[in-house]
Amino acid sequence: MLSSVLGETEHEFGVVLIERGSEVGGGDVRFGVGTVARIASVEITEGSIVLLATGAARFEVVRWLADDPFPRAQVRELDALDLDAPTVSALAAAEALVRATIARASEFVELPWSADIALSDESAERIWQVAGIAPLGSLGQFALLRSRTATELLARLVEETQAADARFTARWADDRQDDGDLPQ
Amino acid sequence: MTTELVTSSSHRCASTLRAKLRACSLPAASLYRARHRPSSRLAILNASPCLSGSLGLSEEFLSASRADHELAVDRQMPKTSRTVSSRSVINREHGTLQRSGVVDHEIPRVWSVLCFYPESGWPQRPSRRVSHLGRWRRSRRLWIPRSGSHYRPGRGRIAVMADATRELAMFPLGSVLFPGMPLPLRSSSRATSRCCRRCSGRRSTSSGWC
Repeated sequence: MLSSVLGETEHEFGVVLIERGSEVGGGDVRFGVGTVARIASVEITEGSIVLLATGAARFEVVRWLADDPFPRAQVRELDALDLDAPTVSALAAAEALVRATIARASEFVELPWSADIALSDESAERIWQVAGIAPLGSLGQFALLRSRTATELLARLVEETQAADARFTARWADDRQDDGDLPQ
Repeated sequence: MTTELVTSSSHRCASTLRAKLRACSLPAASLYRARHRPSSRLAILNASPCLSGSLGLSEEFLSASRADHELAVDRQMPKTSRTVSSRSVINREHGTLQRSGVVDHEIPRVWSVLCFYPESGWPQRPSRRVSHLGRWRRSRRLWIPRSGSHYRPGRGRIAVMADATRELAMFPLGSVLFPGMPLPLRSSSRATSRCCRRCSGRRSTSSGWC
């Protein structure tokens, strides 16, 4: 797939979440909404490839094509989200919640993003980055990705993050209780 | 894309166009669709490399096709926005491009063309369902909306909605990629080794782009 992508004018490929199945071997079931990944750099060494891509526009799959030799699909790009002033202020509140949750959750689990990670200054990009760093599972993240409006995205983000925060807090309480049960 | 596909798609789009024309005659629908929604599609059209050269959907094409398809151009539109054409022009050009050996997938597919005359007229007689919203001027072959009605198709907008679908190589993953987020990937399987050799052959340097 990579050799084909690199041979094209635009070095892009689509990333979709697997609904059922595994990443290798085929036969997996995939979700119909994904993101275009634009290759920023690729390092080809003897026997391995290290690739860095950046998420670009979202798309919906119109039709899956044959997987041979690699998965392909006919996709339609989704419109970018419109952000007005109230949405931008709601974004700030959601971001504060996400960062606080990351700070709490990092006490229990190892997260890929730190609570003080720098994000883009542009709101249109920042809103997706806030969604991307939120400590959610894949299905929760996919629910955010398929949002049609910025308001819907932020509402889901706050809801999912609060739920995740509650789970972390409950786990913390369980751990404290377990510590209390230990013989002194 | 084959000629058969274009033709069948054209027929399908004709019905879509009729549906959209009807939809645009509804209150508050036409302005939004004509001004905002298609603008991004136009950007897609203009970004397409095949829109320059022989398939440049230029003013000449519009003029030539206007008689047949009753297209109209809004003089207030940006110049780039006028580089549009009807599907039939594209189909005609499709044959030309095929003869000249241009790759099929470079040919744009116009999904539908919504055209409004600038003098507040409608190039085709609408269905009887909206006949109470205006009158049909047979001499000018224009539909003139009745005053006070919301039926305002003739704001001088020409809206082109391109079929923005494209074929894309897909990489199913167990995680979600968001716009603006980085995606680091590392692969070292046997298939990767083969791919490395092919990619290295394609480019002399082993380190990447951008």
